[in-house]
Amino acid sequence: MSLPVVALAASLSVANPAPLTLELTLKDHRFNPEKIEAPAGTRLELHVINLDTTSEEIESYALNREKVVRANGRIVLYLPPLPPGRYDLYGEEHPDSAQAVLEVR
Amino acid sequence: MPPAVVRGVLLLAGWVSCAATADVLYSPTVEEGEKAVEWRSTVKAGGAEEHKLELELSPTAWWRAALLGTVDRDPGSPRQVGEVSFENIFSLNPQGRDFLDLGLLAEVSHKLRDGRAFEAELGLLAEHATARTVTTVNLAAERELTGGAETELTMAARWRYRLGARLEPGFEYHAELGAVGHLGSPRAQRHSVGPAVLGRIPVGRETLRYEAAWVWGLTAGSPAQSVRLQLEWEFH
Repeated sequence: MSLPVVALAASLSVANPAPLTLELTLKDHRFNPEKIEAPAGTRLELHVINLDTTSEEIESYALNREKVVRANGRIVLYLPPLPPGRYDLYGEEHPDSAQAVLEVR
Repeated sequence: MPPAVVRGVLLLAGWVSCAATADVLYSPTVEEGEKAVEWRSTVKAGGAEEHKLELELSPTAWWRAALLGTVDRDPGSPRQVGEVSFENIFSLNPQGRDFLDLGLLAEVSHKLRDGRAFEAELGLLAEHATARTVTTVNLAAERELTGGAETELTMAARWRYRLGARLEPGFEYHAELGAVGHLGSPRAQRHSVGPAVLGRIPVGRETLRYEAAWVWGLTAGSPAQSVRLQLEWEFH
């Protein structure tokens, strides 16, 4: 059953326009940059690169995402077209320092 | 779990007139490293009850495993252990990359009485999210692993609006479609629909998630009313 399912997912992926790629780096439990901007109504790929030696859980209720990025690892958050607004995200392991904002205009 | 919360949920479940046709909706999304204890409860008309306690672990970003124990009670009988289950969810694509997030459900259960049979369940899980809404659909087939058993099909769907982390209103739909090969007409099947609420409440560094739905039968064979309640304690 899994092959038709994967084929369906692939075909649906092809039908969508290419997303805009954004990048966030995590170093010393801080995001860089701490504020990123993106146009409204565009699919986004938010790449998070963890340069720390400990894993971090990227969490954002606004973006509907919770995902672990391992030490010296990299993840991609695939985001749907968003309306204008501020979307907070933070590192659950270091919420006081690991904070960033995605500002959609 | 605080006893007062347990009593409150049991009282609410016991208040409705009939039992739920299905007791859970699965998202295909898996969160790596998540550990959780989950409790699902249904209380049926006349005093029948079913309670499930689940220990859950997600070792990878594509696999969530859980062990479940079921305690149930027929009207007028004492509570007793009904079955133990091993439940797995496999995420098939990264969340949000494609139009649909897809997953597979694979569960094996062992009944601890009434013949002590094994039972298998396979399901297809699909979800689509926009900036503010999430739509989830489950289609599952369940079969007892004994000679002559039939494969029963069920379906469930939910739409929810992401109003805020603590409260997400929505609607749920549950269906028991019947056995493969003789599904019968939709009027002979069980279909129910009604409102649902979900949310999560931070408790220190941990999270308490809840789900509740109250659905009404759409066909003559459906339960007049059903309730579904679920609490999950997620920790790290």
